[in-house]
Amino acid sequence: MNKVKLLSFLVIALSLNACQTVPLPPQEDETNDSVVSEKDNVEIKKVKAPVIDDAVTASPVVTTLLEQAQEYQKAGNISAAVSALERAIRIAPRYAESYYELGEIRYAEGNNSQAKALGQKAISLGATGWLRAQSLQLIDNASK
Amino acid sequence: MRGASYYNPTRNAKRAKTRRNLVLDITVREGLIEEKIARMAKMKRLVLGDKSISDQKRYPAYLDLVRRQLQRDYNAEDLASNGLSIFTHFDPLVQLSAESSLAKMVTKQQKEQMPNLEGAVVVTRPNTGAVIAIVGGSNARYAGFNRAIDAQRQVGSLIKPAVFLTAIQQYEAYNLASLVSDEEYSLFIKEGDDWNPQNYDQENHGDVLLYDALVKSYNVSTARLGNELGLGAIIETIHKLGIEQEIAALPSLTLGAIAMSPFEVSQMYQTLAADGFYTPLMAISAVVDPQNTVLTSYPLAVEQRFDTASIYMLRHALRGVTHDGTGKALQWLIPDFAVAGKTGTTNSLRDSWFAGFSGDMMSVVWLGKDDNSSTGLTGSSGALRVWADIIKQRSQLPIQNIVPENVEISWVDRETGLGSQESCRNTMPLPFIVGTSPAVETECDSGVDNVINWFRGILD
Repeated sequence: MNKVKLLSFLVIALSLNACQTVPLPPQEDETNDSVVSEKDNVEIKKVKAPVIDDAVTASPVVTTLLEQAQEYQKAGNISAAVSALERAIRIAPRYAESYYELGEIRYAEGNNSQAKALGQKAISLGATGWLRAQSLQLIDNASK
Repeated sequence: MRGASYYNPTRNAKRAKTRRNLVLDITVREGLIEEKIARMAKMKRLVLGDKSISDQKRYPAYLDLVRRQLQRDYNAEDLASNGLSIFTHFDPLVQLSAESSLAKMVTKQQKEQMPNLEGAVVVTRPNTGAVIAIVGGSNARYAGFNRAIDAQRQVGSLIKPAVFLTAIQQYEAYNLASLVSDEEYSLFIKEGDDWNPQNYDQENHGDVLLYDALVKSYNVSTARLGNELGLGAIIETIHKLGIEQEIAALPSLTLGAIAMSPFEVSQMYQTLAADGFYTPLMAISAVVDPQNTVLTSYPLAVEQRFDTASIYMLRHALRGVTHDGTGKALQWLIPDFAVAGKTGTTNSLRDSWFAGFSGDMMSVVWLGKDDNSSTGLTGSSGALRVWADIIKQRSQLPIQNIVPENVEISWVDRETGLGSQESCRNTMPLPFIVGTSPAVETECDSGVDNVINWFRGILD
């Protein structure tokens, strides 16, 4: 099994820009390998925790692309912003924030159906905290 | 910039002639991206430019899709200019795995006196709909009949998730623990024939849990359930999953008496892989002119067509296929790597199918013969093996399951579907919409036989 340990290549983003801080969504089971049941003195071997979904953490590449997208938007270059976000999605397809940001652009363009769908997609990928609240707001706005 | 690759395409410096008709040449080159990104993305874009190379015919099936999608979306005149670059989602490493895995199976079957086996493979990325590899036949270099896109074959049990999804969405009426009868079933059809479907093992299994009817691919209980749900509702689900063809409302639809191409099946399973979001399959990411102006891009467009809870429950059963059901060979073919999927086998073993997904790949494999004679292979013994090879070689992320807020996991008795407890014998956890878990019935014998390890991974 060609399991590349991508975690060893990731540098945890140290960007302290408050707008960029994204809390980690809940991870898959990370409990102990086994549990001894007191009743029966039988060891129940738990399933190994699956490879942690590295795409949900903020890799520097993705963070940079999201920052670039914001800069492009400020400069009014929407198509470049969209390209940057789509590239971020291609690189980290389970990183929820990329979808949310794309949804905000679609909303600004008046494309409510895509805005709503992309907000929903961010939720389905496990958006929590700030990102979840923003996505829900986007869905709400785009549903009006 | 070029790194090591399996192949070493010879660059041909000839310029393409100007023609009225669309001319597509391939230049495969490394993207100009950082090493780190290359490792993470595991993707090298196939770029069609105006430089031709001697092995431009190397990927005819994939190019075929590119051409069709361009022709669908543009006039020939728009694209006839020289020097257009067409950026695609092609992944040569995945393509090679898909080709070699299929070839391995075909060769094996030849040795076992089953010549002329054909096949097709489609591989996509679950969340974006990017098509990354297509194999159109056992001879991948042959630019002829593209079975991946054009072979219309009966899908058999691959349709069953659509039946069960229809039921599961009606969460007040059905859940994974609902009992369905697998006893002898026959349906009177207008023309005077009775329809009397049989299970693959020719047995009847009494009352079975909805979960088991899907996981073990029982025909009888599925047919009965389908009749209860009504063909209209099932057809609507199939359309929502992304199938556009007209579908005849025949009872045998519930057992897959419907023809689809592997590409169509891929669109259907893509929606399941993408958590219920319809995600159109795309080969092209952008078309760029020689001045590097983007003529058009194919933007990511998704649409939530099913609620996340229903999809979560269905996917749980599709994981069950790979543990307790017809796909359990995956436990030793791809050990310790969670995936989900469905086997499909048609009458007389004419078609062998497997459709499934991990966290970063969705793939459909079909095996069959062009003359529609028997392959001697079930979905399990045939297509599943090819699928497993591809996933094992190229997938890096097991299936990711985020439990929706309105879903709870409850223990049920494996035989009766009644509420149970973790410490009981013969019990298993299943997901339910909050408030629909079966009531916990009488006390049970405690014990830890029949422990089903894989479920415990889903409990936090």
